[in-house]
Amino acid sequence: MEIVLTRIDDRLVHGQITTAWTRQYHCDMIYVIDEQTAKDPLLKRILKATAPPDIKVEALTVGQAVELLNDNANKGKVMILTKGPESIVRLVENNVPINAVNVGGMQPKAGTKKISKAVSVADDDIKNFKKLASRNVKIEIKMIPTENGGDLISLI
Amino acid sequence: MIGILVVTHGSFGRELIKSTEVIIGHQENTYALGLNEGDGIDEFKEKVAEEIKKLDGGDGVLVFADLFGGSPFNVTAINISNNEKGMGFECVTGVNSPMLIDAFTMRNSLKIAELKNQCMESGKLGIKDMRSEI
Repeated sequence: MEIVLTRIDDRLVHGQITTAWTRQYHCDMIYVIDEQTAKDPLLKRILKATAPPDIKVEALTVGQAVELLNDNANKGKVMILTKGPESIVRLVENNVPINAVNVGGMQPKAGTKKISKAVSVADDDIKNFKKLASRNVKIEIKMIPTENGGDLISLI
Repeated sequence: MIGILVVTHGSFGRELIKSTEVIIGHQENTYALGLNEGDGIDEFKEKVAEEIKKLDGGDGVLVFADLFGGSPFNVTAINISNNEKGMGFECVTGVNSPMLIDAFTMRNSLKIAELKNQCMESGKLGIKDMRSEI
C-alpha cells in the first residue's frame, strides 16, 4: 500500500475537490480516518455514495487504519483523509510512513485562530502540527492541486 | 403546502429562486441557504436541519442541492436519520430552473414523492441542444 497523499479537510469527501486530488495522485482508494464517521452507519452510507467514481472509500478509526496501512499484503495507492492533525500524529507515532501533509480546509470554531482563508487552528492543532514538523513532515496549505501552496508552520 | 429549500455553494440558490420568481411571481414557503468560502460546515448543517423543520407544514419538504457530493448536499443527507419515519423530506441534486419552476407550480397538486419525480424529469428534459430542436 503506497500512501500517495495525506490530506486534512474537515469536510472530508466533498465532490469535485476530492476528485481533483484523487485524479492528480492516481489514487485507488481513500482511507477516511475519523472516529465519528467510522462509527456512524449513516455517515458511512453518505461517504460511499458520494465518493469519486471508481474509487474505494473506507471509513476507519485510527486503530483500524494503522493495521491496514502497515499490512504489506495490501496493494494500491491510497489517499489518507482526516479532519485534523491529531489522527495523523497518531499514525506517524505508529510508524505509518507519512512525510508530507496537505491541508485543505479547517473551519473556524470557538477557540480557533484563522491562519489563512480556509484554515483555522486551535491550540491542540498547533501542538500537533508542530509535532509533525519535528518529525520532518512537510505541511502545506492547498485547497486544490493547481493552487500555489503555502507552508503552514510559518503561519503558526 | 410542500416546503421548498434550495441549498447551494454561494448565492446560487437564492438567485435561482429570485430568477424563478421573475417568471412565476413571488413564492411562499421557500428558502435558500448558501455555503460561502470560509463558512463552517457544522453551522451550515444546523441551519439546514432548522430550515427543513421550519418549512415542513405537514406535507414534507423538497430540498434542492446544486452538487451531489458537495458539502451542502452532504449536510442535507445527514438529516435522513431524523426523517426515516417522517412525512417525506426529499432531496434532488443538480438544481436548475426548469426543475424549480415545476416544484413551485405543481406542489399543490402532487404529493412529495411524485413532485420529486416530476422535478427530476423536467430538470433533465430542460437540457436540450438548440440545433437538434430547431
